[in-house]
Amino acid sequence: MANRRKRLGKKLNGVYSYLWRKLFNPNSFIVTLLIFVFLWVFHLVQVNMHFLDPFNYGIRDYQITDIIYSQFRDPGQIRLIDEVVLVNSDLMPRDSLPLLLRRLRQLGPKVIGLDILLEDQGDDEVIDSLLREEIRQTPNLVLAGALGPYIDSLQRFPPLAGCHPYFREAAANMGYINFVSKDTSTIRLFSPQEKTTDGVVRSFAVKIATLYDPSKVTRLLRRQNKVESINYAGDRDFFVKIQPFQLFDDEYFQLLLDRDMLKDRIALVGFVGSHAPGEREIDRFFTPLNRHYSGKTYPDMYGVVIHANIIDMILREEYIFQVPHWLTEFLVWIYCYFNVLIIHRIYRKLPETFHGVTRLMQITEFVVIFFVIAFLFYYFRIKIDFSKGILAMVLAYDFVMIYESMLKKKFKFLQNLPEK
Amino acid sequence: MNLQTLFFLCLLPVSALAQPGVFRVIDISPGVYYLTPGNETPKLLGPGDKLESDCTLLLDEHEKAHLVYKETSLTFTTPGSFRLERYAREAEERTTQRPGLFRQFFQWVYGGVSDADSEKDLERSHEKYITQNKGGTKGFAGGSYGIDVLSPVVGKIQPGAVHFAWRSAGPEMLYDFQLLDYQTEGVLCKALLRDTVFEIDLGKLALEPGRQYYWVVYQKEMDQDSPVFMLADEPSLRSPRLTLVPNEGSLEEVRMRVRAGEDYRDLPDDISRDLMELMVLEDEQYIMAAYRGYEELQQKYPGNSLVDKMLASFLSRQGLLEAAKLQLQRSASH
Repeated sequence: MANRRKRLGKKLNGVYSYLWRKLFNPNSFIVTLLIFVFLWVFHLVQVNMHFLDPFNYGIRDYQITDIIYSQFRDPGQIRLIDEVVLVNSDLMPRDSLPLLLRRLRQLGPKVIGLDILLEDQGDDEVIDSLLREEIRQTPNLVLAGALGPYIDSLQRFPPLAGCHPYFREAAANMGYINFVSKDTSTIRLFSPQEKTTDGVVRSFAVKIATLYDPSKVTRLLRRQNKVESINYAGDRDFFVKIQPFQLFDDEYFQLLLDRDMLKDRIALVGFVGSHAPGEREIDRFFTPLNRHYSGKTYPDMYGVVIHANIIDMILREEYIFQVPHWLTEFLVWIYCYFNVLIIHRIYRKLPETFHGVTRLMQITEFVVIFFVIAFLFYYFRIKIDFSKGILAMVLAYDFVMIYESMLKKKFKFLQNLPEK
Repeated sequence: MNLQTLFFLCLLPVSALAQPGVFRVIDISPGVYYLTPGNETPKLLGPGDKLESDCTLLLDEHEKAHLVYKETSLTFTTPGSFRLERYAREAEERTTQRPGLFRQFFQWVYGGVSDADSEKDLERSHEKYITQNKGGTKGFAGGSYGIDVLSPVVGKIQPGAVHFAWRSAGPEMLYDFQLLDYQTEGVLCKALLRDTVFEIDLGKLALEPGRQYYWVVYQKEMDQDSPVFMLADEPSLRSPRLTLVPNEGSLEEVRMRVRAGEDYRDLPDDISRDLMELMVLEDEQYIMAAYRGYEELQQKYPGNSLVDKMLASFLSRQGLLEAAKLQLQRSASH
């Protein structure tokens, strides 16, 4: 038994030392280190280089996974989302809102979300009081609010704004309609809840989902992510839409009643246009579903449809899993090191065909990496930001050249390092 | 069940055992109906309705219906009756032909490679692409910018009060009326209005005689009055820009010249002479004066179809098609 263990130990030691000899190369390690130092310095200076680089400006708001949303989906393929119905408010005057709410309530939805900011009181006090009364009589209504600027000293947001106290007092539920993005950048993230000086408030979509199915929201919050990536199901065509005439016309309204169109569903009220040419740009945003994923393009999705997508994601519990930063960094380092190692070997063993073979290898790797990222996202919703790895792979060739032809000649001690 | 039956059941294609799909209505315009088999009375179609594939969809002019069948989107926009059975078959075929990720990825990579050659491709096969983009102001020929001008305040304008009028498709809008210098784009007069008419004495604006100005009406955000909707800063609805030149030339001189002409005097009746005078005024760009002349003629000869039609064609020549249409409707109702 003891002999057997000894033999196994010897064998394993042999394997380890073989792998160590094959896989560890101090030269490759130094080149890898140089690449990451370069990337770090580059990262420090690139901030001020955008104005010199229109190409970079055009594609900076772009992620590889955008291509999966925008290119690998058949726009004619629709998975109808039954739980959420979009109610187009169009450019409805305020005096129509009380009737709209009353009729929606009569249709028996489980939750109504009003994605309209009632920031001020209108001219007509009667209309406002009617609207407030309707809000009061609809306990399953979620009103839209907005988060104001973050107060650093308190590490909290101010109380929810965007809804006049006259209406807010009558509302049982409110949620903020803010998305996590810069001015005109693509909406990929949302924050489920935030701390305000009044306490924790939930986003509009999360609040609606809470009223619809609280257990699913509990599971969302258990993930403890400050922000979540939105797993977009599709654009407005994925939802049944009710137009204003269908609510206000008695014949159509009866039809909706008879067919239980909103019964136990979520009614999301907001502006859902037709993307017709010349249509005013109201509540429209860029999303990864935009067919033109980089450069000049138009906003492709209405805010209310983004909220509907978030609700759908929560109800299906199909979240996007972001690979942790430390794991990504680790994978990038390993990937870069092995690239350098292989390129180094090609450089020593195939000096004649070094350039061609390396470039061919890089192109193949690029396509394979791209496919792997697409595959992980498409089938498993795993999102990995490997752009640094790709950049490191591209630089590996040049840094091996710089190291071999310049640094090694300049610094004698590098020549004494063992080569394998 | 004997062995033979089992054997034949195994031979049945899987698709034959698949559940038949239903069409779901995603979005519809008003007035779309459908027929069920054996029932000749059309039924009104509502959003979210489920239709079996043996139903027939009935669409009239300007109606549309957006349906989904087994993850396939179907949009009907042309008038007619549509047996859904056929579309169900097509959708089934499309579903089975949908490529997987690997094929889509390959197509995308290949597409990227061929796109690199796209500039050259544009030169080689420009005929294929030339119809895709048109540089020009869309809608002008139709007179449609969203706001239609009803009064032809354009061309040479004489001193005095001028009446501007327009019409918009939207309800209860706020309008931003602006009078601007044609060369410098400087604003000379600006007014935020709820009304669709505006009257001003151009003499009080100290306009330079003979200089070109233009006026335009924008639809604006309803401000504090209606904070319900966040509208874009830059409004997309506006009227066409109509150019005017104040105090240019003498209107009376033109009138005198026309009246002194032999052709004018040879005309058989007053109405023909008046119409000729108005045509000359239009030629000389006294559009406002000509318009007032037509209005006076309408009062002088109420219900005269020739005058009505001449006025409508005059308005359409100024690009005010909506005003011309209203004019024709008015004369038809007489």
